[in-house]
Amino acid sequence: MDAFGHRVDEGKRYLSLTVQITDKETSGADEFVPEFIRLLIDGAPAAPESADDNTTVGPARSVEHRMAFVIPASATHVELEVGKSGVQQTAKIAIDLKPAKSES
Amino acid sequence: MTKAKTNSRSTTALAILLLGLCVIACNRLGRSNSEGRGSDSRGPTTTSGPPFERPLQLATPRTLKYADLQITVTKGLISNRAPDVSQADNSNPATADITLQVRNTLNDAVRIRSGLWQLRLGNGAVYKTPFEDNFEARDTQERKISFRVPLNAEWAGAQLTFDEQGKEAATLGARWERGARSIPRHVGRQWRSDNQRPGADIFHQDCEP
Repeated sequence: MDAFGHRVDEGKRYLSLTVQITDKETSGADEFVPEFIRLLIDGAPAAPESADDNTTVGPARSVEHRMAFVIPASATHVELEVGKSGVQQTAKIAIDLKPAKSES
Repeated sequence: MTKAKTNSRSTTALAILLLGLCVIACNRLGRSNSEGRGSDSRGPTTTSGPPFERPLQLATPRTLKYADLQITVTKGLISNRAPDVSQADNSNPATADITLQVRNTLNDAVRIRSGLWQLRLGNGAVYKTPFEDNFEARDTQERKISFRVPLNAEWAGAQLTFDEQGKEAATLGARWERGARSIPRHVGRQWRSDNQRPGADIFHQDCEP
């Protein structure tokens, strides 16, 4: 229901995800581009509504990056797609969700 | 010379007379104020009838979560005290006050816009009060919300709901102590201690995921 200090819109839910991003190169810090991660809901891509500000990854380091996507309350299956579609090969991670609790 | 002296005496007498009148007037005004304070010390102003209080019997403080805020009900009281801000509502002369502790655990401020608290009583009637506020990062604040309710309002079966426009609501349901009823102020403390049940229920959270 909540993410980054906001309440979700009626009929929606937040899907809060934390991803670990690792820079395998040993020299120079790299900038992580948030656009490289999106959620596919019924095949349609969605960007996170909110995410951590820090997108820098040090050489041979990992960072945890939090993000919150808005999904329909009825959603039970989504996919997280990583990589820039059309430019490079992307990878998908399937996520099964329990039906959201209803408010009385 | 004589005329000048006479004028000077007249002026002095007039000044003394005016001073005397001022002293008398101030004295009366002071007495009137202290009488007013005296009536205040007898208790808060009420809207109608003898003063009564119906406290919310909280077994434990109950918390709802909204926009990452932890909002805990710490106290509730229905009384016929006069409202803090005058609201012309003759059909609802009593006031239900609920004290909340609002805790923001985030590292960022949380802003509540177009918020609305709704108190639904056991008989289904709903009373509303608007709410807007800012809660700074990692801060805890106390807030009091007030609803104008009928004189016969009870806590039994009450529900407290909060939302912002177009947002999902958060609700606390309530089961109040059986037999809760109007307690005259002078016997309230004794009545409450006589009727306290061990482990008495209360404000259980209904539906926060």
